[in-house]
Amino acid sequence: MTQNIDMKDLEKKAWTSYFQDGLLDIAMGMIMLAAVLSSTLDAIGVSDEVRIAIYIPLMVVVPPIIVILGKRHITIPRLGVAKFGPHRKARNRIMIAGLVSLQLILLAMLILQGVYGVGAGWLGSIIVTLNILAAFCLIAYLLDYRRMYVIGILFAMSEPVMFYLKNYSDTVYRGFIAYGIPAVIVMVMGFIMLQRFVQKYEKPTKETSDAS
Amino acid sequence: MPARDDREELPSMGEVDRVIHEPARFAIMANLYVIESADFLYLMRQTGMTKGNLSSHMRKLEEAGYIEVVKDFVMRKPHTMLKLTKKGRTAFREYSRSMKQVFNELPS
Repeated sequence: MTQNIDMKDLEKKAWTSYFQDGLLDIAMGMIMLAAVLSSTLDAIGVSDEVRIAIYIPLMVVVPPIIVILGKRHITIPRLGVAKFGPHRKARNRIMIAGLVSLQLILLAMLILQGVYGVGAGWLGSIIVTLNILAAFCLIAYLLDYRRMYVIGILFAMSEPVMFYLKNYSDTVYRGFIAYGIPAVIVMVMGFIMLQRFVQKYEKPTKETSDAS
Repeated sequence: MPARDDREELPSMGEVDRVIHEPARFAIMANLYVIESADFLYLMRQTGMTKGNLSSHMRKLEEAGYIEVVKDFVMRKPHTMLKLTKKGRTAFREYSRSMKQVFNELPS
C-alpha cells in the first residue's frame, strides 16, 4: 500500500472505475446497430411508420436496459457502491444542459431544413457530424471517460459516410458500412472491457462482501 | 518509540493524528474523503484490504468518531455504508496540514 496519494487522482480513479465495465460502450454499439436496422429496413422498402416503430424502441429502450441491468447484476456486486460528491453532480448537470442545448440546435436545424430547405446536403451533414462530435466530446470531458472521444469520432464519421453512400453510391450495404462497422468496433471494445472487468473483479461470496 | 531528541527536532510530529497515520486507516480515510459515501465492498476493492483487516480498521475509525457506519439490508443481504463524519473530514484536513508542516520543518 502506498502513502503517495494524489487526492484528485484518487477521486478520478474512483469515478472512472465505474466505466471500466464496458457497459456504456456496448449500449452505444446497440444504438448504432439500431441505426443499421433502420437503414436496412429503408433499403428493402419498409414504410417509415413500421421502420420507426421497430428501430426507435431498439435505440431508446434496449441500451438503457443493458446499462441498468448490467450495473445491477455485474458491476455493483463486484465493485461495490460509491456516492460521489457535489463536484461530480455539478459536472453531470452541466453535461445534461449541454446535451439538451445541442439537441435543440439539431432540432432547429431539422425544422429549418424541413420548412425552408436551409442546411440541406453536405452543409446539413457537416452540421450533424459536428453536433454529434460536440455531444460526445462533452460527455467524454465532463465524465472523464476517455473512450467516449473514440466512440464520438466513430459515431460522427458515420454521418458523412452515410451521406456520401446515399448520394454517390448505389450499394444496398450502406447502412452496414456507415453504422455497422463503427457499431461492431464499439461493441467489441465494450465486450473486451467487460471481460477484463469480470476477470479483474471476481464476484465476492456472501461471506466476504460485507463487514463482519 | 522515538528518542526524545528526535521529537524535539520535529516538534510538529506529536500533533500528527495517530489514528489516521496508520497506512491502512489513512487509505480508508483518503478514499472516503474524495467521495460522499461508499459501501464496504467498494472500500475493500479500492484499498486492497481483506474483510477482517478492513472491519478492524473501520471499527477503530468509528470509535474515533471519524466515520459513520450505517448497516442495513439490501435485497435481504446485509449492506454496510461508510462515510466520513464532519469530525473525520476536519481531522483528515488537519492531518494533511500537520504532515506538510513536519516535512517543512526538516533540517536541510
